[in-house]
Amino acid sequence: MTRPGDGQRTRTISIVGVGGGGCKIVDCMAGDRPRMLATAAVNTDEAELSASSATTKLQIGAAHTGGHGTGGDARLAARAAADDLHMIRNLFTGAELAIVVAGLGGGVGTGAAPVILKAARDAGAATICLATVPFHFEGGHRRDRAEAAIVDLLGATDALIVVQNDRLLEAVDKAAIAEALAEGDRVLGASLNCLWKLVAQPGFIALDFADLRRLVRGSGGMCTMAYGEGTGRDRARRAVAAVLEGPLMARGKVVAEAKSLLVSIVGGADLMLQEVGDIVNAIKRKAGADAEIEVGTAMDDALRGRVALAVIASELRSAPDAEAEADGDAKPDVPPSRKPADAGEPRSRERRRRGEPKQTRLNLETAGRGRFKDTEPTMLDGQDLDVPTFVRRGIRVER
Amino acid sequence: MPIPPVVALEIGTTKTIALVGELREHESVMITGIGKAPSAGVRKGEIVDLENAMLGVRSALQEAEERSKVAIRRVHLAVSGGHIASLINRGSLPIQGDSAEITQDDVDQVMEVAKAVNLPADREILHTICQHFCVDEQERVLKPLGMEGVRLSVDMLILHGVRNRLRNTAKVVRSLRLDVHDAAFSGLCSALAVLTPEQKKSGVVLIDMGGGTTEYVAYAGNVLAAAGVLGVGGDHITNDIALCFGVPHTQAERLKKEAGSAVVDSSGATKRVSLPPEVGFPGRVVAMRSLQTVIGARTEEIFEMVRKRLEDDAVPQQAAGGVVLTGGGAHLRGVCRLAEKVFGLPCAPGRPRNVSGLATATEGPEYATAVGMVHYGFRTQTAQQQRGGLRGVLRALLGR
Repeated sequence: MTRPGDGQRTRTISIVGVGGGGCKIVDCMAGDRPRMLATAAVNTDEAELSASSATTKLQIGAAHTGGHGTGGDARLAARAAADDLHMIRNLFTGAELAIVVAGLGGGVGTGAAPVILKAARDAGAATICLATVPFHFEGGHRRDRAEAAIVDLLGATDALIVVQNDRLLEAVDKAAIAEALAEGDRVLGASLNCLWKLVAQPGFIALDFADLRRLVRGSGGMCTMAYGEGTGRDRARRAVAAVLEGPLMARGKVVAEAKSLLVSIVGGADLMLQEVGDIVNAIKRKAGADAEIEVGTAMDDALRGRVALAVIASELRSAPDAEAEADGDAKPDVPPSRKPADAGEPRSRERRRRGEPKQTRLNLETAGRGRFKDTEPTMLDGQDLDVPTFVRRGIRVER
Repeated sequence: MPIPPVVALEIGTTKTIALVGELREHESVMITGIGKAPSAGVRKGEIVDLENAMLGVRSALQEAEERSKVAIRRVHLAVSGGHIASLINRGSLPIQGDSAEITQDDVDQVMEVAKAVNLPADREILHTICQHFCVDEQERVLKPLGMEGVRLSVDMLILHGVRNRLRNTAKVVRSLRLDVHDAAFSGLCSALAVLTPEQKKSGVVLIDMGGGTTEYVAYAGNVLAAAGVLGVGGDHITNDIALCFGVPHTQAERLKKEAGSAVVDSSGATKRVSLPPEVGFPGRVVAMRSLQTVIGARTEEIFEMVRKRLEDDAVPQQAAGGVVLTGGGAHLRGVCRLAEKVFGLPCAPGRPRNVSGLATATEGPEYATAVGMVHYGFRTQTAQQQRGGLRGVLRALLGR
């Protein structure tokens, strides 16, 4: 099942589906060209894993579950993930950004996702988690579990995108349940695809990876995501209308209240500057005056004749990001559009980011130990335990 | 011959506690006096300033003396510090004689062999605790007396610490012209105070989170399976808060006690906590979620380190008795929920049992060590009356 060699490969973005629900969305993300995109599926259930089309499949907790599901036992799933932590870590080797997708309310998505996100963060990646919340009709206990999991995830990830299944299916115009669910997965997959393309195949307005990371880390937690598509002559207007008037953004209310917005526009070679301008202006009109809006476009020739638009709205206004300022990554005066999409750039960035923790630790040698600065340090496994845990683990805290 | 009262003294990182206890029936103790003073000159459970530490001890003992009407001349001292560690030493002995039956002499002799462990020159044995015997190939024999075999072994858990640091703690007491009658590892004391025989039998992990140190003790099958100390405690949580929000330590301590929680809950998503301005402090508003994140990260790390230590010591995973929390850290909101998450076991704060008298001392988890020390004191005293005393180790430790 598992191909350990796959995990060793250096990838800048790791996309990981956790549990049955998460894996399905990740499959949809790859769409009809699964080989284009390196994805990983993590599950306890062997049967569900073999149905997945992810490039890397990782079965966890075989010792506890015997290759079956967890039966909705999130604690069992967490233990399963902890058991196979070294394999999970391999998924994030060299990753700059980790996108973890999970359906909450069940077992694996609820229990294993926080563990997996922590592993990604430990590997030095910025983390985004997309989590779906069960339908109302699925019952109170599933929703309670999902609610508890959201709290766990908030602590484990840089940005958490929560999608209410109720709202998602409202957006999908299908009556038959199987079709509706599949369409819901497709919408989420397509939105993630937009985000991924933004980083992997930047177009004429490249969203700088540092911007994305700052937006992600500065979002202070929960985000909402919406997706829209359009074809034909006024495809841009249709795509933006689907986002602004759709249920996922509560008919535009979320956009109006958002503190920061990430707009990713993907189109074919026929995407026009005018269309991008229309989309951004429509969103700007709706958004609050002080909202921070970051725009990126990506090219995908498979989308010729169509425009795909994904918008991520963050709940909290990002605090001035001391980290970004400190390492000189912030280039506020240079418009991102002028920047060429340099293939070598992510690599150099990666190196710099890998250097960061060391530098932080050095700075903290005198100041970071507070009242323990004159005492003998408590060392364990090469870590100075007197330095705050949140600093050593790189957990972002709004101060 | 009446048993004299036991005076237990714990020189903690945050506060010094002195308890005077009398033995009652059924191994129960009654606390007749209590003295409490803020500690100074103690960091991470170890003395860094003899003179200041002495002041705290003096006022705690004075208070206890006044309330119990007992003139204190000697104390039972609870010791801790990150330098205290444990190891398991196996001692073996061939069974002599024709019958191949194990005699009491064999048992005594093998215990002595197992206790004789080579430690670095600066270290001193604090406790030797018998785990289980092994007769030939048969492991986990509880009572080998009368069994037949050719070889008898015993596993001995040996708690040891750096001699000079232990002596410094004792020195504080002796500089007040008092005797240290006995000393014990404070984690063991807490276990003695709060754990029930059923918990020890079914397996239990006790974590005593103090100001500067976190002690842990694990039992499995009625046997002490592991024990140790981490030089990290509640002070670190406060320090993390102070550094994160740039507030003085007193304010950080207030944030921790009044608004802090070890788990991030949904109520904290938008809530803010304000610290009112005071002389020399302009006031500050912090996000609840940030506060919870900072506290949670540190507390979770402490629990994870304990879990890792227990895993490294191959402590059996089944601990039906769950996790018991004592020490001041047990008061932290949400700490039990966090421990349940990290260990995957039920968790509850521990309260001293088999104790009566002054309510404050008999209720709080932060008194577990001192109450346990009183129990320990009576236990060793009775044992001495029966066997005439065997305290060579302690003598060496105290340099007498």
